[in-house]
Amino acid sequence: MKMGDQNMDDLFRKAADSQHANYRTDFWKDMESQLADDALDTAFRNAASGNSFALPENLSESLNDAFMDDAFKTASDNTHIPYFSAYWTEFAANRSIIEENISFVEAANALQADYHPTYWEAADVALQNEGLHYEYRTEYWSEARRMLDRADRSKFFIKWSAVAVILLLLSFGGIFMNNKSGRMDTVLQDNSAHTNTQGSSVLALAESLHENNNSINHAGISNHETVDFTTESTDNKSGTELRPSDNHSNISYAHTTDLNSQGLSSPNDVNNGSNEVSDITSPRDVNFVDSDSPELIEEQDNYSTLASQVETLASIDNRDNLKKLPLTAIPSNSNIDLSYSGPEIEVHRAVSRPTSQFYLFANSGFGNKYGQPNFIPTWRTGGGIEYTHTSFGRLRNFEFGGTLGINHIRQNDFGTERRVSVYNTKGGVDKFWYKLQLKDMIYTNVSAVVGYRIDHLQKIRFSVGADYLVFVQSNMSYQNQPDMGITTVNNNWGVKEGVSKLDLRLGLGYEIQVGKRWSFQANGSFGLFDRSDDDFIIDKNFDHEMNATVGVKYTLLRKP
Amino acid sequence: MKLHSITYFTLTVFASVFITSCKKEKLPDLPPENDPYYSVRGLVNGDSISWNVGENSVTLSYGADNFNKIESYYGQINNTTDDQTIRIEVLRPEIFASTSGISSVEQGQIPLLTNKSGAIKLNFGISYGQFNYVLVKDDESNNFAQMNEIDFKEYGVHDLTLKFTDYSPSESFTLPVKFGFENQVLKAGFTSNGSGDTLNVLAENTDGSHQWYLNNVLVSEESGFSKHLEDGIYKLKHVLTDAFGNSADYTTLIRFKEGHFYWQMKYYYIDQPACTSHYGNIIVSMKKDGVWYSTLHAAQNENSFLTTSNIVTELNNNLKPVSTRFNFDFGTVLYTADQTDSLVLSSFTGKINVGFN
Repeated sequence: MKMGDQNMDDLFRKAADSQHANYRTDFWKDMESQLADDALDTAFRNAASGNSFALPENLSESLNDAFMDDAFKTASDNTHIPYFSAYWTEFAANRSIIEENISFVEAANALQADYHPTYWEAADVALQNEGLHYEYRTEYWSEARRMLDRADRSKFFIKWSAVAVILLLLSFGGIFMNNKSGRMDTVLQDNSAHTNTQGSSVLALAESLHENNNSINHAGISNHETVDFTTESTDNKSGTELRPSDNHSNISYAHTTDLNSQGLSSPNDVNNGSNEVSDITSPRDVNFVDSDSPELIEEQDNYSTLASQVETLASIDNRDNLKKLPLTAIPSNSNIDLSYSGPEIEVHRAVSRPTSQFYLFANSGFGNKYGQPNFIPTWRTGGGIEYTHTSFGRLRNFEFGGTLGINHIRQNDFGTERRVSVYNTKGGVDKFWYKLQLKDMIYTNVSAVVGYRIDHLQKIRFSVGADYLVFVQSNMSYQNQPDMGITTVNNNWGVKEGVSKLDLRLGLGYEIQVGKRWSFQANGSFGLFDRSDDDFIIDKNFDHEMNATVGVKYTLLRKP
Repeated sequence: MKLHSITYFTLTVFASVFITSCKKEKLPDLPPENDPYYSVRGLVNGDSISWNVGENSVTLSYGADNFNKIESYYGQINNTTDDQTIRIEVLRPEIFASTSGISSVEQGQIPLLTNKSGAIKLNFGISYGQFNYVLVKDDESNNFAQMNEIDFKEYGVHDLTLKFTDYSPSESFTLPVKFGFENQVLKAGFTSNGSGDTLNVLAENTDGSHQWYLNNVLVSEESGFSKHLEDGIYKLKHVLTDAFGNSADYTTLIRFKEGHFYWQMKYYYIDQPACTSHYGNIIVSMKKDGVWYSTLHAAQNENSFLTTSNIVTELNNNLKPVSTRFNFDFGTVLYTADQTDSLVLSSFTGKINVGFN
């Protein structure tokens, strides 16, 4: 018991120091008088003599806690913190948020997400952009709707569940704070005899708050107001509304929590003034402020000053300055109509629209060598852009469009040689000549394309287009002056003779999609006209352009 | 800058660099082709030939030559592969220039020159006795002998060397004698007499400009002159030049004896040929298998012709003819000099260029 008294003394000292209240002997005498309860003693004795009971575990600790409760009550009664109008202003500023949060929680609990047509439209556009919207089928719609519903519902619930959880947590915190404020009220009431402060004014304010809250049985919500109010005040560096601004010692929130943990779940419990603290003779004994901390020492020094201030502040009657919160009391038995009261929304099936696609393609392969009666392969490369348009209805499996590209044709040993003899009047002859070897030809191609979709990945393509010669690279040697030597020009781009400038080409291709934007293709094409200028090349062969290439295609853009 | 903007800019830069910096030389223009200027084709003893100068090692050579001291202009197409040559030689015309211009080759039918022998006889005027003291040098034997007739085997200008034994047993006199090339248009010649020991000379054609050479010394440029001469035999040459630069000359001997004019030597054809002037005639020759065949040696070509056309003469800066090209066609027989072999050239046509330098 001595150990317990010693502990209690220490705790009280700590509490006293934190409250910047000087411990006076009177406090202990009051506490001692309260603890001198003959009836309780008698009851204990009777119980001890008649029954055997198992002492609860941590009895000492429980007792200490009980002492702590009373110590806190005493301390809170002796602590008077004036109310500043700024606190109310701040509360009013945040009131809308507080009410909004309450409304959201109520809505979250009452409302259920349902399918909305706009969700489908947005999903439809997204699907088309991703290239997944190939063919409209009823199953797609249903499946998409299910997917959307599922996705949206999960999103909605996750989102609002999170909000609800947060709000619940805040509500619970508010309950706790509400309980704390109630106990504070009780402590103030209990300690009112020890101080000359007019704690009744603050008490009256707190009581008014509790009257409003008592009508709401949702502990979380009701205490939320109190908690916020208290919490806001707790976070207010200028000081809580229940303590002077220069009072560094306070009943901390943690300590309040400890008090709550003893089963005080509602302001009513607090207001009931249940007091579980026993055998506490002095508030100092239940003070748990560390008496050795420098801060405590400083606080203790200030306590006497503050105490006098508390007494002075307590004498201030702010009841005329207080205004009642314009809160709307909701009867506890009222039924909130949470049904949807907006305009009726008609759900219509989304209208399918044709799409346009833009691609980049590149291919490589081989083709025939000009000027040869037999097929000798030579290199082919090409690339360009493609546009296709996909419609719906009967032509939904067809694509119509066009391509614009460049084709490169490699040729070797395709050329000509020309010699000219010029006779002069002196009986002599000058021979002039050139030799031309065409190496590379570059054509631009414009084609109309028709594609037929075999399935959602594969399609075949037909094309008809025109080739126009733009560049030719060649090697050339010549002598065209009697007094000049032989001139050789390699990798020359200035000669286009010998090759036909225009050709008409037919194409057949196969394409398979291998990703969201990529596809492989294999193409073959056949030119209708003779690519070689027989008058220049003196070539007796009819040189059709024939080639087979493979390549890739990249989807740049899809637009509905 | 967004990635696609960078890509487009890069592609534009690459395309611009490619277009502007790559070599772009056009196919060279070759001169227009033409046909060979000179050619000859025909049948040689029935074998066809077709030679184009500048092809297959067929070449052309041309220039000036002389036929027995008669200036000639030739063109020669050589087939070095077969070692055959066709030569067309044009004897100088009597008149080059006239009011109608330069006429180096006449257009139309030009007779082919065929050698024909002939003889001349000397004439000393009234000094008939001179014949007894004249010795003529034989060109083959180089011996002097007394001859009543002087024979020439070929047309041309021949050097006649004479000795006059009553004047000097050793001194000889050589003078050119034209055989078959009598001037018909521009005639040089003179008559002479003496007044005591003075020679008086007068040109037969006084038009034009005259040069008188007495023993190769210019003594006068008048149409006539008089000069004191001592006793002796003198060679007098008259050169006549007309206003177009055409010239002709005539050379003979003059003797003064015992202080007075004795004689002016003249010569005459014994058998006047039908044609005494062969200026501008054409000689066709062909070398085949290393042997030359020529129209000169074929008497049957006496009335043969070579037809010329499209005659173009090139002049130098001094307006002197440099060369003349013309189309020809002919048919003739060519003989070797000893007339042991012949070539029949038939249906020969072509174009040739003859030179004057």
